[in-house]
Amino acid sequence: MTGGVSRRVIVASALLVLLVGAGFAVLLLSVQDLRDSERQARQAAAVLAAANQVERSVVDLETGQQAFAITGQEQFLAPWQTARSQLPDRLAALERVVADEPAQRAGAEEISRSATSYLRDYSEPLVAAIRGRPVSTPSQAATTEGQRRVDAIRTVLDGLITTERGLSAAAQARSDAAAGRAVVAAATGLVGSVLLILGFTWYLSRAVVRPVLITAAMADRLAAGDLAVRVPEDGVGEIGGLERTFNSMAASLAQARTDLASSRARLVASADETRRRIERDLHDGIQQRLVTLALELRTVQAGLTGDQFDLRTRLDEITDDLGSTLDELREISHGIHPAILSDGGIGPAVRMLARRSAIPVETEVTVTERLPPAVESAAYYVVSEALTNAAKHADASVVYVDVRLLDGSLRLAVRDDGAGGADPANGSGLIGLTDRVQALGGTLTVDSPAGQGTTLQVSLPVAPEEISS
Amino acid sequence: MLRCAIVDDNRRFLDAARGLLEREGVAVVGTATSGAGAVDLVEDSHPDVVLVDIDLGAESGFDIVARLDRLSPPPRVILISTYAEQDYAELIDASAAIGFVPKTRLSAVAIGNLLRRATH
Repeated sequence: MTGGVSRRVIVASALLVLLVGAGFAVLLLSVQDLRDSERQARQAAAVLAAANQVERSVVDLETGQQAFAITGQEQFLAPWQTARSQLPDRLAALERVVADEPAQRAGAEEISRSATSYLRDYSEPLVAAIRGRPVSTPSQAATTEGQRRVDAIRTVLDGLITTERGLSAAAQARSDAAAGRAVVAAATGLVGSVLLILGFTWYLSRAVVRPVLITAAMADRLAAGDLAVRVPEDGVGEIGGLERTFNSMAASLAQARTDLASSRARLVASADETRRRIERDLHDGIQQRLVTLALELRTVQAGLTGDQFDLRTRLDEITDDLGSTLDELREISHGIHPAILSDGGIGPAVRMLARRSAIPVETEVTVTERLPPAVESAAYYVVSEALTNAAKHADASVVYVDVRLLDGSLRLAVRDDGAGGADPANGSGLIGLTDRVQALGGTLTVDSPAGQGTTLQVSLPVAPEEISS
Repeated sequence: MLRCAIVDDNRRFLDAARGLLEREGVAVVGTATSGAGAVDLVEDSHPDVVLVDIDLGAESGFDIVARLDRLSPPPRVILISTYAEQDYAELIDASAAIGFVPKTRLSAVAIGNLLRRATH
């Protein structure tokens, strides 16, 4: 691939300009030729007309003088008079119209000379001679001389006419050729332009429009969250650059999202681990020591003799206080992290939540396998929060909890028959739960139409190799 | 006199429990801090009842109950814990133990009640 799109566009445009320009140039030249031919045709018509006028005058002179010679009456000499007065102008007109044609000029001058000579040297002396005698017939010799002169003039005139017709025919042939060239040039220009424009349009749509449309569609999918989307990087020049930029942008977005997801997952796992450790420390440390103290206290109590009533009562009170303190501590510890979740997994933990719930809970937990701690924790806290909400806010009479493994995911559904109308965006622990679920790549949806109870559904992806029995 | 063994990973608790139960008239024939120690103790002393902590840190009390139950004859076992009974209810039910006593309510009377109930 050499050159970018813009260079190709420039080359194609230059080609188009060249083709259209050449077509128009040929058309202009042909128009010029046609105008020349038309001028030549007008010239030929003018020459023919002038020649005819001269011929008529000569014929009028000849016939007029003959009629005068036969009749001897002046009235028959009228056409001769007219022709005699018109001839110089007509000859001048003939010489004028052929002034630009060297080939014809000599013929016209010869006609002019011989016609003038005919008038001066033959016709006028003859008419004067006839007037001199009363009635006579012209001599045979004079008549023959007049005929010969007229024929000679006519011959030259015919030659001039023939030559002019030849020039006209040649001009007509050039005109036809020019018209033919114009048609070919116009047709070539038209077809060439159409082909070039079609090709250009096809190229632009293939090299620019289509890749841009594909990239735009991919950008839409990218914006919608499909970060795995990529465009083919086979575009020309700048378009290819655009495609590569788009792909690297999508790749860095995907990388950033992966990094963010891992970071969130690590944060959640770290928080869970901290809670587990605190719970263990409480259990192994303070709780054990307080329990031990309580037992030692009761040992002391058991060793008392019967007459120490006040002391026994006091010890009873302290033992009860210690028991209450231990119960409180146990609840705090349980809230931090439920040991049963680590020991028994999601099934026992969910059923424990059901037993502790203030309202009746029906559980259906088909998961007996152990799942990754993060998944178990997320599932546990979702059920715990949902049960708390159902008891506190929904005024529900029963809650159904369903937990199962399906298609590589842990599916949780918590449904109550309460008031509904819960808004997951409105405070509540659901936002924290959504964060926790999303950190694991899962989804959480809340469906809570007013008056029709609330259904919470969570799906958490679990890889098969992370499941243990 | 009722003969009893106690399995727990906390020495101070073992001492306190032994002191209380003996004061209340129960003979504590021995204590163990692990599953293996519990098996040895039961095989050597054949106590009437073994008190097993649910959570020994490194080991699960339920696993120890299962190991003891495979002995011949299997001893009667009572699970003890600082955790609430309802938290572990179904694991306790599923185990071979005859019952559960919270560590804070540990007494000769409580043990006697469970044994009587198990016998009937």
